[in-house]
Amino acid sequence: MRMVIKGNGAVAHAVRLARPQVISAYPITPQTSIIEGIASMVAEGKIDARFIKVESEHSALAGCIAAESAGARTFTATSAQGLALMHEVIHWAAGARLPIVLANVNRAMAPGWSIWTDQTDSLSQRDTGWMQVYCQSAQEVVDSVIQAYKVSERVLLPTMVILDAFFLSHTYEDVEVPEPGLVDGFLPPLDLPQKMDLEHPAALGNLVFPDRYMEFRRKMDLAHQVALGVWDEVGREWGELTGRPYGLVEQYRMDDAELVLVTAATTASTARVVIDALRDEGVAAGLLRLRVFRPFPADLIRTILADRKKVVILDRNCSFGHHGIFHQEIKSALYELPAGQQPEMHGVIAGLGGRDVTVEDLRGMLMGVWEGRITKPVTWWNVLEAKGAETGAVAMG
Amino acid sequence: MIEIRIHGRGGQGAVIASQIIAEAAFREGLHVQAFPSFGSERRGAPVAAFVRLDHEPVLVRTEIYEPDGLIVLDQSLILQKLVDVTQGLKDGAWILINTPHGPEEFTHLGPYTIATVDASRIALEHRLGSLTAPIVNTSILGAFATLTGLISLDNLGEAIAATVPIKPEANIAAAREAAAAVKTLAAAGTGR
Amino acid sequence: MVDLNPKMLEDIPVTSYSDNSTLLIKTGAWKYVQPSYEDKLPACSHQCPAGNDISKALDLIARGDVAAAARLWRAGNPFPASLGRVCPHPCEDQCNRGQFGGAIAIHMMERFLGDRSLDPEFLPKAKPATGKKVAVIGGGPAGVAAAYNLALAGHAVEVFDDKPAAGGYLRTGIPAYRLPKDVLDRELALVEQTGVQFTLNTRVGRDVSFDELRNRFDAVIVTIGFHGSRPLGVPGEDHENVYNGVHLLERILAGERPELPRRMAVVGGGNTAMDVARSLLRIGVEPIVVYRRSRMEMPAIPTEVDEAIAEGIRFEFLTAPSRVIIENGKVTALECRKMRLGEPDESGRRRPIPVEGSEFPVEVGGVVTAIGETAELDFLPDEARDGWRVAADERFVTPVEGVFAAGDAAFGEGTVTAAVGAGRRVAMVVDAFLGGRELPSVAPPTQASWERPVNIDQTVHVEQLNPAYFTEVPRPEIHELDPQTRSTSFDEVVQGFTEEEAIREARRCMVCGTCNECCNCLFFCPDVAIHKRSGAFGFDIDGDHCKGCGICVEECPRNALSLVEVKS
Repeated sequence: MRMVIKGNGAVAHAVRLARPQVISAYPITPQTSIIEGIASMVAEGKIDARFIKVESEHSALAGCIAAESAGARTFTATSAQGLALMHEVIHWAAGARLPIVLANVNRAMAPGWSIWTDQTDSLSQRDTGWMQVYCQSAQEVVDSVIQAYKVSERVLLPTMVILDAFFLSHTYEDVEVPEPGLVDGFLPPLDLPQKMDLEHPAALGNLVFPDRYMEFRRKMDLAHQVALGVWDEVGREWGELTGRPYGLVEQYRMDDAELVLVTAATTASTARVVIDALRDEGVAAGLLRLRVFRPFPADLIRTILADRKKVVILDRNCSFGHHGIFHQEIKSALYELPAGQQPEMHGVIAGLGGRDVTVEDLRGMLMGVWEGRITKPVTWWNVLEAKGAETGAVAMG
Repeated sequence: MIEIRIHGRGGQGAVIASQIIAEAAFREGLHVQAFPSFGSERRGAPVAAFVRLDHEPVLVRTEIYEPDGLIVLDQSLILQKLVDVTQGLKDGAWILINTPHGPEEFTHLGPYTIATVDASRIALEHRLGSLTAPIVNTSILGAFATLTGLISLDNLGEAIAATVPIKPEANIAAAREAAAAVKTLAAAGTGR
Repeated sequence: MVDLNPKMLEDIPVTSYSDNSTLLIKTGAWKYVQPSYEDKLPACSHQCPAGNDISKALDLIARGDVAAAARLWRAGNPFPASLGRVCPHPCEDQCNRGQFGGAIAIHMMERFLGDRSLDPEFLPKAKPATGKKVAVIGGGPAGVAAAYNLALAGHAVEVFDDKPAAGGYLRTGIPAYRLPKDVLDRELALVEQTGVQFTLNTRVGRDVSFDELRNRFDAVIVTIGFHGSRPLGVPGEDHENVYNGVHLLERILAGERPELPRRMAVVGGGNTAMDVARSLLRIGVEPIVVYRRSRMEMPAIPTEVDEAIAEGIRFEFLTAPSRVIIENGKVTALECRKMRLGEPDESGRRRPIPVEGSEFPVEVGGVVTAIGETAELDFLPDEARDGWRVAADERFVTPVEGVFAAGDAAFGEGTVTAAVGAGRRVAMVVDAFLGGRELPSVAPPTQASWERPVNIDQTVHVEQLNPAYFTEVPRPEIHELDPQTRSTSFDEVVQGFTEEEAIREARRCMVCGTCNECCNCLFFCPDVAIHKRSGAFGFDIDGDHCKGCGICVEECPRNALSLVEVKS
């Protein structure tokens, strides 16, 4: 059924269709309307689930961990400071191999206090063992939440479905929300192979000595590698059901592209307008949109970017003291290319703390690289110039 | 693609107005996008909301900088120069203002098609809101339907019913009355 | 089952998970201490002069087994329904629940259980007859308690009393508004059912000689209590309108309504003084209580004083009589002196000192003395007497072979409850004597008669509980007749609990020191070494796996577990 809903509403509808049994969450702007929507649906009987009200995000995820350990399908949602507060149990959820699905609304970390979009919150959880999917539209949010349950439950890893604050969370748009029957056919009820069972008592999360710990970690890493194929397969299956196929990445006008923009989330949506315009002007531009960031499809990206002339990697995040995080990951993926096939790579850090990344910004950074005006490996876009960078005054002042 | 900016004050329903336009246009078969000016809104402070309408899926997901039309829910924003409402406005664009005055009073704004409607009066006659805070966002959209032809009054009515939880009938009636009451003064050379 | 010797990555589960190692590893070999289920004395029972097993009974009620609780309560105590009305309930002062919402209304619970166990089905079965015979002199609470317990132990017991009915002070000293006489009669009838024979209207030394009893019986127990009030020692006290409080009370409670002055002074601050004053009020006399110390030092049960004050009885504290003023042959006033309190005396209470020149008249037409009582010991041989009391050591043994003594006549503890407890304890000593066993070197505590084992050397106070498991639950209201109604009536003042109220109150009991199968030990045991017994009370500890970590002991809410050293 088509309807006009905002990104947060898309999460709520997808969760409804996924039929979780336990939802445990704590409100935080700009995520709050997700759980408000879900709470209403639970109250109205549209979701047959227990909604656990908690006093913090740490407890919210702990609630999901407990319920999922007993074999229940669970959901939670958070953002920024809330996600950071969850951090300790985020590791636990992955290590316990619980296929929890969490929606994170990308919001900048404080201070300075900000409620606007920025990917640093979710990318700070990169190494926890969770899978991460970055969405560009409310439609993709609906589709990805449902797919996330299927993939997670197949490979026993939790997934973060990530959407931009406001540009996606609070923007109303027309969305196809699937019928329950379709989703029920796609997503069978959860049947965890290893769960709490009163008939067969066991200890979960018990002490593991050095002679065994690595094996568990190795299994987690292997599961991520398996997940690459599962995301691909599930995205294709969803496409057969709905006409909306998904891959690990999305390529737009990439066939003969010499200038490639690599980015994720809503900026990638806007970028297509710029790519079309550049093509009209005779520049062979293309877009590589990162969608599934963990597991990281390094081989696929290496194949796609081999032999391109110039690659611009746009990060709405920063690993301070180094590059943007997508930039680092792309560079490391391309290291194995022979020198002759290596493209010239430029990182751009833009749009932190919700600053808009406009059509003009995208055109500026792409053409700046294409025409050789941008030569530095990393450029902070549209930011006040630093006069005293070399004396250190800028850092200390 | 048509990009619309709605100006109002916190509490006047600019965001809801953007949603209703999106809902109505969606019923016309258009692809839609509606969003508020992002941030924390305070009652009475100037706020804005945005709408994009297109026959194709809307890909651009930035704020709107060069709108094709403006809806101004509160004439004081213009009269007291609280907001530069015409900022970035395309030449030949339309401006719909809630005001008891006629469109000729606003020609100083620039080379735009000016339309006016006394949405506050109409809202009060339909007992929407109070004298100090009439709820004008539904009635002015009737005028919007007439002015732009983008949405039918039937679809506007459905959109209002789907979006406004309280007194949908009164809101729809007010929109229909405003649709007939709008006065338009075409910009030179636009033909309207 | 998790593979303990995996060869491939596939052989291990996805996450740390163990469904067998707890049993495979015999952690029991590690221990040098081990937990042991050991019930200890709850603070309430520690304080109970009658030796009631309070925590166990309340736990039974909380589990819904009121019948078992009633049976348990009457097991060694013949007067629970009576004590449930007249006991000063020192247990409640010590109740650990006091710090978590207010003490358990144990007194009310005793009354509930006492009333419930008036049905003969709750009477314990007596042991087979031993052929031994015991005489008990005095049918008061101590004597009847001793007789009851000895009869249940299989001995033939005969109780001698000079009154037309047994019950002693319960009958003659306690007014009906506190203890309806039919309750007492039913409890005594139950005692008779155990085989105890009551020989009434028979005064030893007058109707039968002490020596004859010694000859006819294998053991004799003297439990004659106190009778008679000590004289005031002031001029004018031999006037006919100056009454002995105990005797006057006996007459009133027997139903007599003697001609009395309209206003009377009641001299004394003990329970008898309160009973006299409140009984006088009920027959239309205005009593004025004259007490030489302050209210704090009054030996009477505090609630009795509260109730008397609520009924409007006037008190003259720090006041002692100096003379009965008689004009034209009639008492017109009691002349008194104000007192002040000096240093504490041997009783621990501050000594009253007369204030010179403070004489003032309390205008009354009569005086009742209630300043302490004396026993009437004329029938005993000299060596069995020690001044005003029977000469008995702390084991209740007198210098006369086969003669024992207990209760107020021996020790003057002064409450019916203490007398019942003394009766239970002397019965244990006499049973040992009759069985030819060695007598204990000290008197056995009442709790030694409990069927369940309990470490009586350790009392569980609030510090010995695990406060994490208890939250505040308020004490319920006790229903009483309103003061207006009760000042004109001998109807019972305090109303008993319904079964629903009793169960609710029992659930408030923290069951200190007493295992109630809460299963916390089992839940917390990290080695799954504790198992609930199937079909029986309690738990078993699997020694192969208990490693002596002590978590169960730590987490027992009520201190019913102890760590003991492992014997090698």
